[in-house]
Amino acid sequence: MKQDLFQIAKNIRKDSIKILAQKKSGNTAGNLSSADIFTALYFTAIKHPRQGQHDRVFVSAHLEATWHATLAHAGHFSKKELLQPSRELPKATQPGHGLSIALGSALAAAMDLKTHHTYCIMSDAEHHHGQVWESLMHAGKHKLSNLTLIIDRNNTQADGYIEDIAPLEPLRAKYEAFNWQVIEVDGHNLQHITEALAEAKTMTTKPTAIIAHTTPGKGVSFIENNYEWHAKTPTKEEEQEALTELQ
Amino acid sequence: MKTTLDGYEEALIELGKKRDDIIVLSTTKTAKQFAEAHPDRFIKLGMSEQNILGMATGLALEGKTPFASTCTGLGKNWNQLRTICHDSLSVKIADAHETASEDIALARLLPNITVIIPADYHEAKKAVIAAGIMKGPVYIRLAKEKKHVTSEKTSFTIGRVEIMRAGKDCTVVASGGIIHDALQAAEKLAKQEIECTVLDCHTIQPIDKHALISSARITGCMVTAEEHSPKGGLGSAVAEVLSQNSPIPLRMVNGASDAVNRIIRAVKDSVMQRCESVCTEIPEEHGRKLYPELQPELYFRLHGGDIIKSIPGLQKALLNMNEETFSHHCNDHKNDFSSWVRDVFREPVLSRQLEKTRTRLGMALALARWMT
Repeated sequence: MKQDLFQIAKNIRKDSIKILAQKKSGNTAGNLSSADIFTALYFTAIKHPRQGQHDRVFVSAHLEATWHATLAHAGHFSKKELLQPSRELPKATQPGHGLSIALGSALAAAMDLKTHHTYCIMSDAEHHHGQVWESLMHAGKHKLSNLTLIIDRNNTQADGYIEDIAPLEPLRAKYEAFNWQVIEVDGHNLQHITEALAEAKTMTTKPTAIIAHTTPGKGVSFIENNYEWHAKTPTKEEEQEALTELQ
Repeated sequence: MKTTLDGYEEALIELGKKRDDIIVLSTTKTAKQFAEAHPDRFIKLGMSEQNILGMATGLALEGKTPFASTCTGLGKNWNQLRTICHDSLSVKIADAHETASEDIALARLLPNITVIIPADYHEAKKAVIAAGIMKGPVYIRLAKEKKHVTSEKTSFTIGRVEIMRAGKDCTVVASGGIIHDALQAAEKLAKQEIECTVLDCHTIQPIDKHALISSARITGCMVTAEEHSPKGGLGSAVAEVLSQNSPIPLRMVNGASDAVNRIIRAVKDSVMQRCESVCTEIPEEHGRKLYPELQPELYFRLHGGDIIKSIPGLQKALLNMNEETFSHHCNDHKNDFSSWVRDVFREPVLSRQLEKTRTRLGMALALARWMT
């Protein structure tokens, strides 16, 4: 099982690289760093994705390539759709907006006593949007335990490292102060992410934030830990090189 | 006097009683009654003006019909509204900003949205109920009204104007509280023989194209009045329709102080321009075709020495005439223009119209109508 997930995550990374190379726009470092989070979420936490009571997932536009690759691998649509879409693929939310929307959705579920869970995946740099803090405050107030936020904490943004530009630390303490449960994990350890997602579901009094510490560009040596790859996509040669490395 | 905010509150109560999907989110003091009646469906958000529309998006995605009571005139959450509009979600925004003058422009340029400015309490109530029933995003501006201009019985359909007054000389299209001023202006203008049509254009988007075009064809000139910058507001919306369908003289009035007098001036300006355009469209020769060429001794000789040879010529002369010359020919004792038209051209009807008007603009307008 664990080995399988590891292979799935690798394949998702490959498809993500292909999408980014074809689109020529996107966030390569972030898409690679979040691949394990998406794998764990879609292959362990979300149980019945196609039924009416399916779990809701809101993903920030930064991470759209990996999200679409994961959806294809999880069987939501054919993998052919990734590079030659014949219909509109699910739309990611605008950076900074996702948590607010997830909050509205989770609140509606709580009002109707529905049992599904609402997930929001965003990158750490989105904390620079003021709206994120507005929604954090209200999610804490409404004690929405059916809401789980997963933060891809890769410490990069387009023009540098987050801790140099506008530091978020101590991020854990900030979330706790807003009345959230916080679980910190190694964002590349599939076992740990899976456990954290399971723990989040057992919470009954607070929303949960999973801070997943990740390496930007994880899996491809020349992209890893280089913030310049945040807002850059691979060329044909780089794509081949990356795909060979991910074999 | 009940306000548009009262109309909003009462409509929410009415909607909330019948439907469980109505949720009210608020960053203002509004919707207190709804909060008391349905505390489980009322969400207070402090001043989180961005989060309010984000949350409304999430609620709408789950099949709820959220009403967001905001008060920033879209100054802080246009980006969030943009997402709502592009996805055509059923989020209703009721904004109670008191001095916003750009919100209509900001809302109007987005796709799928309906933009409404109710004129008073009655219209606000009807608008909110209509918004609650329809699908898709709606922006309602809860403007400050001056006096009720509609009643409970006045009809209300989203996207249709209400005819508040009918007249043949100029159309005044207004939305919001300024309709009261527009009606007052029309009243005063009627005493000066300029009859205005006043349209209550409560829906800015989708705008009532057919009503605007047909009214434009009847009156030949138009004035817009709004409590908003005409750039991007009702003024722009009307101009977009007219310029593509029935280009006519148009003036735009915003809701700053002294609206009544500024509407009166705009109407006169617009009427004047219309007369001038009739004047340039119909050359003097046209007049000669209609009537036999006059003998030089029948020419009208103006006080200043100028000579008028035809009916179009008279109109042109009236538009350019100074007040001194005018009052020399038209005063309490006589009206030379009217007599000339009666005696020389044998047109008793036109002559009577000129006799009745006794103002330069009114006469030019009567002549313009006669010729077209």
